[in-house]
Amino acid sequence: MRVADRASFRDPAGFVYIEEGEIYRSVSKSYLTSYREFMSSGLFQDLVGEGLLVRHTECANSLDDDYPVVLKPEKIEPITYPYEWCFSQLKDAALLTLAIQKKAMSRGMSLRDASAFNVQFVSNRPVFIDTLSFGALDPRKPWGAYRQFCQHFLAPLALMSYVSPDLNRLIQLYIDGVPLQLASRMLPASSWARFGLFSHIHMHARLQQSAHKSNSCGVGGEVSLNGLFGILDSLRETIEKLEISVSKTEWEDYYSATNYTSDSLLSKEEGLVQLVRLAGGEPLTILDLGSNNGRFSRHVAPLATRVFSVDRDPKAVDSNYRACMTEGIRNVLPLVLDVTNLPGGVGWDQQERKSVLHRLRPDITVSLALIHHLVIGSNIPFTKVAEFLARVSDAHIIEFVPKSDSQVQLMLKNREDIFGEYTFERFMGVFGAYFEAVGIRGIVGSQRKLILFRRKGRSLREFHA
Amino acid sequence: MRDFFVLSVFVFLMPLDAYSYIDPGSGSFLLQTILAVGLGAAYLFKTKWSDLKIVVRGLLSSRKPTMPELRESSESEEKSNAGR
Repeated sequence: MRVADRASFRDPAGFVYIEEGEIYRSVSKSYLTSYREFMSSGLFQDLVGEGLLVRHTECANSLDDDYPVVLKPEKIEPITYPYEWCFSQLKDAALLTLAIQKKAMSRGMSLRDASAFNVQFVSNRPVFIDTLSFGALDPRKPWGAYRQFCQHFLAPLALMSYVSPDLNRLIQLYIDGVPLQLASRMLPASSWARFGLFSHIHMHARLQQSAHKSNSCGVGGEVSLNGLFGILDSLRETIEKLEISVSKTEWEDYYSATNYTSDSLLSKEEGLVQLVRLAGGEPLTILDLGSNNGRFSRHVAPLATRVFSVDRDPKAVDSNYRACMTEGIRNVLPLVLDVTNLPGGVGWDQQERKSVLHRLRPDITVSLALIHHLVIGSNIPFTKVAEFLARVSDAHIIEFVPKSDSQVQLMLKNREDIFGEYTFERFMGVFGAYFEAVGIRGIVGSQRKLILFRRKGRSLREFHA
Repeated sequence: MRDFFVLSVFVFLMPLDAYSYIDPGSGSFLLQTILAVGLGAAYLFKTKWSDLKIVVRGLLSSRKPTMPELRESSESEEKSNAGR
């Protein structure tokens, strides 16, 4: 059965569909000349050779007369969205897009769009996935995707750098990129002093508005090829200089600030590895919920094919991403996600960008020192937590943090303790309705416990279908 | 270049309305034509900098060459002739 991808309908050059679990990209008759030009220009081989563009093969059969060519690209799983990336991931995706545009221009081609959704992370490296984005370069015409690039990459990166790294979430609200007028208003006065931000955001925002007010459709003279290269270089330099501040966040220095002793940490690592092995199964995909800076995700990475390492703190995720790069870990995918407010379906008909639970399909979910944040920190009862986790995966490793723990005591210090039911027995009772406890490990030097649960009854994978 | 700065100041003084309808590209095209002038020149200068350095070095070295330089030059000439 052939199912059209719900996100692939804006560009008439072609569309993506899924058949028998495989991904295909059809090429329309109207785009065929550009596609052939792209393939014969040597650009495809260059980009694929350098790992910048997803590889594809041409299928022998066409879809129909309107779509004479069908491509079979390498399958990328899971698909993630820019509003789930940390600052460094979005920055790497932006620099990839600019590098591709520069290479394309050198071969007489140009990107027709510059959407951040055209980039995915494969083995922790950004890869461009829209093979049909390339068109012939008109060397005298301004870059058609310049505005989109500024809205999808430069504006959110500048806001994350100057205002708050949490502002990647704006891309979820503004699915075609952060409006430049909004970015210009939100950025502090100091950003005006940076030529790149002054011109590509502040000046850009004002010219957009004045062009609209004067109803000046089609305004714009010619540009030289050097001018286009100069604009690309300026965008690259501006983005390369953007950074997020390195001050510690509430989670980033968690392990050094809490009462974890080195023995406790080692014991926790050991218990976790034992339980992951006990859960077994190959290939193994692990979702680490509330992973902080990813210490434990990276520790179990050798046991898994992939680890989705998610946390709500963008700086902790950034630190995780950079640590993975430094340590050469390719199978840990850090993502910024708040488990209490996961992104649902957004965009057209709420299906253009799928909900995160439909994309991440873990075999095991690991929730270390998370339960007290959910139950006591966010007032989510055990029953709601168990019900939710039962939909996420069949196996779970949960660290139970008792009320006597200093971290829980700290959380209750300035508020009334309305959590009489927050006990280990009650926790096991509630989870027992959905899961069977398969293994328990204590953590040395604390009263915390690691429990391996397996889902009772039918596989909840049916939920995802 | 002067026009560029005049326009920059003009643009700086324009008011902003964050939620009005946004023209899809006219302003962006116009901005690129403005930026391309200065940034294009800067790009050209940067990419041609190595060539310029050679030219500048050549102009500056109108002084009498030193013995080691002359030796190097004659050696390379010999190699070049031998290859013919």
